[in-house]
Amino acid sequence: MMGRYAVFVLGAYGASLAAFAWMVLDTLVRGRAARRALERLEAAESGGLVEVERP
Amino acid sequence: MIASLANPHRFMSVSRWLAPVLALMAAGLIAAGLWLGLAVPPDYQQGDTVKIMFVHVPAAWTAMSAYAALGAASFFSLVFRHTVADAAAKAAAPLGAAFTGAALVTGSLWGRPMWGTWWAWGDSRLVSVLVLFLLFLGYIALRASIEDEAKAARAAEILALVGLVNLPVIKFSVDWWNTLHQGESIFRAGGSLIAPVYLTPLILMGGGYMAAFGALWLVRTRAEIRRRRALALTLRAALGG
Repeated sequence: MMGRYAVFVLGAYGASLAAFAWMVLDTLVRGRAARRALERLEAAESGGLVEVERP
Repeated sequence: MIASLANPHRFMSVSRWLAPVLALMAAGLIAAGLWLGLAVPPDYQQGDTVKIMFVHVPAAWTAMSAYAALGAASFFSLVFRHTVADAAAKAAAPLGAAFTGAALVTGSLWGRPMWGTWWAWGDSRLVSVLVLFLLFLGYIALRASIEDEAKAARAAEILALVGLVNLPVIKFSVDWWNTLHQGESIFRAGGSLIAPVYLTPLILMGGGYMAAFGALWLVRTRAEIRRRRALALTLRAALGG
């Protein structure tokens, strides 16, 4: 359909999709990990059961 | 409004609904932009490679906007000591790097069939955008290399502010120097040089990319604020036990 330019156009859209996929996945993973870690710590603090590794 | 968002609780409250709204806007605008853009007729000179414009130009716009956001957040953090601003600056950098990388790669894929080369070291627009990419990477590396988070933040903020000088260089490079890159053809006195059939999907994609950056930036800033809160709780537990 795009003839000899197809590889360049598809490559550009593929690279853009890859960049967006990384941004979205990395952001969601970080967001979820941070929320869960904070929830665990806040639950532990409110319950008085904070486990801290001591030297 | 900015001062009110400096309060972490206020920021978390506003961003909780704003991030999904921006994400939906991004999805809608990009879908509409792709629907129109992939159906445009071939350009009389560029053929179907003109379709690369709909991913290259929005990426470049968003890359520069991301750096402006990084610079503004760094300013508010450095001058007013807003912790939310510092979290926002840290959150913006990886996104800006990704958009800039996308702009460089898509630009190279556009340049090869049009200019006959993947890259031109003598082209001021290309080199200044590469500098922008390196500034984002440098900011991330600088923050990661200094163990003391406060010192890391200050050093990176200064780098970010110094790097702001690159934005007008990128913008006006096509005017100041002879370049392969096309001159200003959209936002110019006398109106756009681009035909409406190409301009409409371009503006839609540009809006979609910006909204996507906004949504992702808010989510990453929220994650950074939570990370710092978790660190504070951990330290408090270690000291108070």
